Amino acid sequence: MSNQTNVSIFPEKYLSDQQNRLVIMAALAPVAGKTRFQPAGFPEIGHVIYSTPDNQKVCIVDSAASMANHLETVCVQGFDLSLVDELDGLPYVKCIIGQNRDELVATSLSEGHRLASYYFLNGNRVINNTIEEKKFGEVLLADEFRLRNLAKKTHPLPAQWWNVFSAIFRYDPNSLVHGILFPAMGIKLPRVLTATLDAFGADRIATSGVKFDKISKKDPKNPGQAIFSKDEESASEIRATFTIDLSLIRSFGRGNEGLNDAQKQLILGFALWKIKKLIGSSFRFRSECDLELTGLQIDGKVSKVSDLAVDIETLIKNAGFQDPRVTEIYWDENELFKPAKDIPEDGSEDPDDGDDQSDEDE
Amino acid sequence: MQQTFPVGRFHATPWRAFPFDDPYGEWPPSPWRLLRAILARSFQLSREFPKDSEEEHERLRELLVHAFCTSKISWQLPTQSWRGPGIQQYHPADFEYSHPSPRKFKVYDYREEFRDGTLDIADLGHELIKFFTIYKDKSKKDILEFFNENMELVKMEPDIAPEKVKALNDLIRKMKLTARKYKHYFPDEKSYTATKVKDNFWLTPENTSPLFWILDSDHSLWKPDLLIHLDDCLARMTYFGRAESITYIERIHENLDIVANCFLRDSRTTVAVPVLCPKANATLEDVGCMTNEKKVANSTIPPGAVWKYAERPLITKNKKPQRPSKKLLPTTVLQFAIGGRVFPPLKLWLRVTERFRGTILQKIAQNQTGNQKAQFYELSSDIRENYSLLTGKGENGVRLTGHRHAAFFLIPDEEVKPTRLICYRKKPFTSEEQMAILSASEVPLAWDYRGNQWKLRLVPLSKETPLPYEKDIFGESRLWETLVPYVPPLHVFRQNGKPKPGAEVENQVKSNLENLNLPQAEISLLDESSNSVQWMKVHRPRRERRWQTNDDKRGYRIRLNFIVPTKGPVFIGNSSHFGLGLFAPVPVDGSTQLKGNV
Repeated sequence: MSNQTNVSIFPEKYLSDQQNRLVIMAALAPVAGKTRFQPAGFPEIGHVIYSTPDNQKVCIVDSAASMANHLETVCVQGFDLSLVDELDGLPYVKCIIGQNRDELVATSLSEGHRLASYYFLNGNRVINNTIEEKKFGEVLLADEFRLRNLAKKTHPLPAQWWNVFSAIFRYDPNSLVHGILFPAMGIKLPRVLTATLDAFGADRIATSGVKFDKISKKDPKNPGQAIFSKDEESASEIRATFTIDLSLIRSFGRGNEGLNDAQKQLILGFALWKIKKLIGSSFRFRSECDLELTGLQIDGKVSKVSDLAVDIETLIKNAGFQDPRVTEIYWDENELFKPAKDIPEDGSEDPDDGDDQSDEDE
Repeated sequence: MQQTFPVGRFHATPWRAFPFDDPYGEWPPSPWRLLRAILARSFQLSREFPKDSEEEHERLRELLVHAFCTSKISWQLPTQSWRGPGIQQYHPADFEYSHPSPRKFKVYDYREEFRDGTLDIADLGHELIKFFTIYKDKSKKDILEFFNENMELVKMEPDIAPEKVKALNDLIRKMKLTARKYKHYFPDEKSYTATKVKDNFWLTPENTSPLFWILDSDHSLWKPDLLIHLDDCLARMTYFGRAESITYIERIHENLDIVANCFLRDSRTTVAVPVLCPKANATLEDVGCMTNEKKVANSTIPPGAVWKYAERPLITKNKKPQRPSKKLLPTTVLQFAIGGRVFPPLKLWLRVTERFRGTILQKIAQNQTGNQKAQFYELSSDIRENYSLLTGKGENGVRLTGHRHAAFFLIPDEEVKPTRLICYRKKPFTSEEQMAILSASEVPLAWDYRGNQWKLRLVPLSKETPLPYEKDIFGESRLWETLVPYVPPLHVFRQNGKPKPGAEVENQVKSNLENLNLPQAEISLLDESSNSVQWMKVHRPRRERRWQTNDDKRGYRIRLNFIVPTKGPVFIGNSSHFGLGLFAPVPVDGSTQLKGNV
């Protein structure tokens, strides 16, 4: 279903201009009038709060990597990792296992390294129900990126980039939006969409509680009274900043090389769709971090969330993707999940009758 | 070039530094990093232009590298910038089973003889079973497990009957089976393993104070077409360092007054930090190298680069802006009502006034430094001197003379409880001092060393709040009596208990009155029946507390009969600025003496 009538942003307009970046700033606040929220906790230091040179306390609610994860989460259904209806027809890659090749392990929208994940590059593609012999990484390198003759270079020559962009776009446009790194091939594409989420005027709020185990089934002599503590934050302002690198999108294609205009528009439109999805609807960053939009600026102008509307279905349709849209990469389960080997302790015989064996851990 | 970081952070780790053990952080930003970032955007720019401009862009890149590398680089760094805490994060690394710790157990070979029904496995393909084990689990239930030749569990019988356990153990003994020890890993759920990474960053002022790159170059190298190319590349730099460092960077055209405060040196000093720079003769190929190329991966420094050293400018931290406070009119008197569950005995009244003044000085120190843990004695001597009329100590800690500094009096009520506190000074308190006093009054006051359970609370009263006539220490009268006992400054008795000539109480009072230029007075000690003598705590300055152990002194009740009516307050003797030796006018029909509460 096309939403053409509700569309407010036309990607072609931004891409035809000479504007280098598009900055979108969203002011957020905890829902239902709450004053507290829970930022990301980092190992050993918990929430990160620091004093800035501008004399305020800033809390990193989510790092850029974490925001990228959130922006990918909005693309898929919660539990089975299938695409949301609006993105129907958008290509992506699946890693599958199982005798019937029907057990999903990960997708390029859930994997940290996206298309460059080990689980795609070192698995075997399934085509017409047949498992290819070559690893998918080799297929990409030789047949898609066509990086066979790098000479002494370890990374693509300028002219070879067009194949790289086209191939990544064909298999997983999401990888172009959030950046991708193939270290062995010298391919490093920066993020088109970079997002940060910070809270200003932040203050830590420590709370604690006790969980009573009144039944005490586990250990009747020691009824459970687990004491827990948690830190939350309050802040005078929570701000999400989204920066879209327009010139980078423009550089993905030139004339008949690389991405065409419709494909570049999809990259921009997909980035905008993600932002709208994240800030315009109910999205919980964490269980105690349910934030809602209170203000929006697009390119420095006060805007409404409806101003971010793009016709994503049409953009996908116009991008010229070919079937199959979803690339399946198969792994033998025992290769992917290597079971630990049992260790017989040879020569240590014990004539005990076995009664006293315990199942204690080492 | 002017550079800002809108999010206020520059995320980067210096070349080859281990992020978890990066001693310096990357500040100033490395010229090597900047040049590579510009080149990356130059290649991107080429892709945006028609194909026939590629050759021209390649030429410009060569020129750019030469012009940049031969420039002398310095910075004007914002002085209000410092290293952030750095954040550690777990990134998913591999899929695998999250194995719990292995279970150690013993297995026995499974024999053909067992197929007689002793081990009830009729429902299993016998040929699968190669090993078995029997053991008690944590809840003391007997468990029997069977394994195939790969030690994979094929059957488990939980909670087997005791008779079966006994039969089985008998069988094991009879057949002299020996147990083999095994560590067995049971596969658990499949999940990601994670690796911990660290993201170091430097905090920068958001927009107020940019960072300036100053390139001192041969002017002829930066031709107009190269400058245009540079501008185009800078305009495309969305971030610098890690993706978290959103940045704006541009060449400045207007003639701003920019003075470098950070310079590169070839040699190291004790406070300099290493900065990776391109060599003057670095080539485009050098600078464009990939980090995983062999020649780079196996070297301590990339080709065409050199370590130089820079001394960062001193950090200046902004004092927190003080909230504009109401200007209070000068006043000589501030009054507080005192509330509490348990009031101190007369002997310990001084503890209240002493601690209250201490809290006032602490508040002043906090206001001066913006540090909530600051102490007054930590302030520089010239700042402390500004408050000599509160502390009673002038230059170099010398005591002020002439009763000029602030005094703190406790006024008792009918039940002889100290329910009012008065701050008095001949020279009116300034607005700042009053704010400190009012701020101190919000802090509960403990008067006992044994714990803080008995705290007094102060409530400010308007300065016009009257005192009862018989306790109006600011009144006027010829006849005055001690409201709080007088402690002579000198010992009245020798160590042998005999009076010290010249140090009699009357003489000392007379001397005190003369020092204060008060009129002559007839001095008399009130008789024993009205508790004329009682032990009182006196103030011991911090510097004397180490060697003086006894702060209990004799306090005396005194009557003064001046030759002319005299205006109060009259307070004399030891610790008189903490409320001892305070006098009140005697009503015509009575006395102000404190009774009881000894």
